[in-house]
Amino acid sequence: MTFELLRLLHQALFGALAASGFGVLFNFGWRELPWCAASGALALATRMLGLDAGWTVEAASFTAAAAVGCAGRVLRARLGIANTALAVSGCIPMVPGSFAAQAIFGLFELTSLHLDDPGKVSDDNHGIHATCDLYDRCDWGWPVDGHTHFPEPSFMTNSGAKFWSRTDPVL
Amino acid sequence: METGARAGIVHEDSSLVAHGLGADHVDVRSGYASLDITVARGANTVTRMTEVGAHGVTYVLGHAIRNFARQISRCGPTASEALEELTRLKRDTPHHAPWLVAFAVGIACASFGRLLGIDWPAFMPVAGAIGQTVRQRMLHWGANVFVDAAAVAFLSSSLGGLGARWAGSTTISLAMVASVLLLVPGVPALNAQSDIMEGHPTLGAARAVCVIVFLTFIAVGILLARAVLGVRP
Repeated sequence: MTFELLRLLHQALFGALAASGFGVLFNFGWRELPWCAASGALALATRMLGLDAGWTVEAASFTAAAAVGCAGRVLRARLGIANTALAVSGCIPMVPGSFAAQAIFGLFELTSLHLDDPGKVSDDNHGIHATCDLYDRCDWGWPVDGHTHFPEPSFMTNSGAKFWSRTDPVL
Repeated sequence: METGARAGIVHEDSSLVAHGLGADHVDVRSGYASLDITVARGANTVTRMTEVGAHGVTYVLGHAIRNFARQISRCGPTASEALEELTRLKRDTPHHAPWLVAFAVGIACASFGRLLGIDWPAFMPVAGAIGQTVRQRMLHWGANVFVDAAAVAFLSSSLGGLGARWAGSTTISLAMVASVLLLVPGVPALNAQSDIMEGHPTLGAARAVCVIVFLTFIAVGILLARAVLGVRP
């Protein structure tokens, strides 16, 4: 319980620091910066609670953004038209920049696949997994008869066991 | 647009200003690089197009312009008075000192890193701060924003990686990513979604494409830094 509370405080603290740091970058005034920090802390704490409850990251982030937006609306009389901008500043730490970067790394790796050396790619392919999350964290198939084989997404087979193949041997 | 406002805000404030100055009807079309506005009064109509400058995020100026638009709609000053006041707002709006911005961005990047899971030795605000300083300098010199992003990503992630390695961190790769999070175009990404959802798909799509290209250049910078430092993902 104490550990969970510390983790919650950790997320709230660093969410507040990230949001207020970017508040300075976005030229928020000194009066608004504490509200930026509060907004970031609320967003990250809410998201962590959601994730701990077993929600997906999307559901938890959505709930956190909704919480920050609602808090801004409740405090509208005090914050004025700044409430929307403050809600945005709180949501900025939840923008999945790291995930997006990993997805782009995956795209770069896709363009440098060495089909004749599958072992080399399998060492590098964690970025591909980020790009291909649609494939339900798939494992990649390798050339058979000169063709590249990919696992069929589970939404197509429900089992994920069958393979479909591309006739184009080069990606 | 140049203060980081979404299309809905631009349309609302344009309408407030035009009605406050005596127009009966206002139509606005917002693009990524230009704004078109048609103002009608009685049988007279005029259409103008104006260029949009560099897209940035300046909350204080945006807030001041929104307040002034409301003031115009209530008090109805003359067009020349309104123009004079808008020019003054743009000229006199205060900005935080560059060293403070660099310090705050460094702290923010390191905090992002903690949220991503870096260990304490990799908590290096210096990398982000130096990256922000170089970014400001390069933009001041007129560098292309995408080239600037790649160069700053390379520099910041290299510094973050070297610092983390020197400090004995076990999360060097994450520290390198965290050091460049100052570059992630969070506000444009949120604006792109808002614009599309609020019925401005052209502008929203343009913003989204710019975000993707920007992220691609950031990724190039990080990949180069990883190759130079020999860091495995």
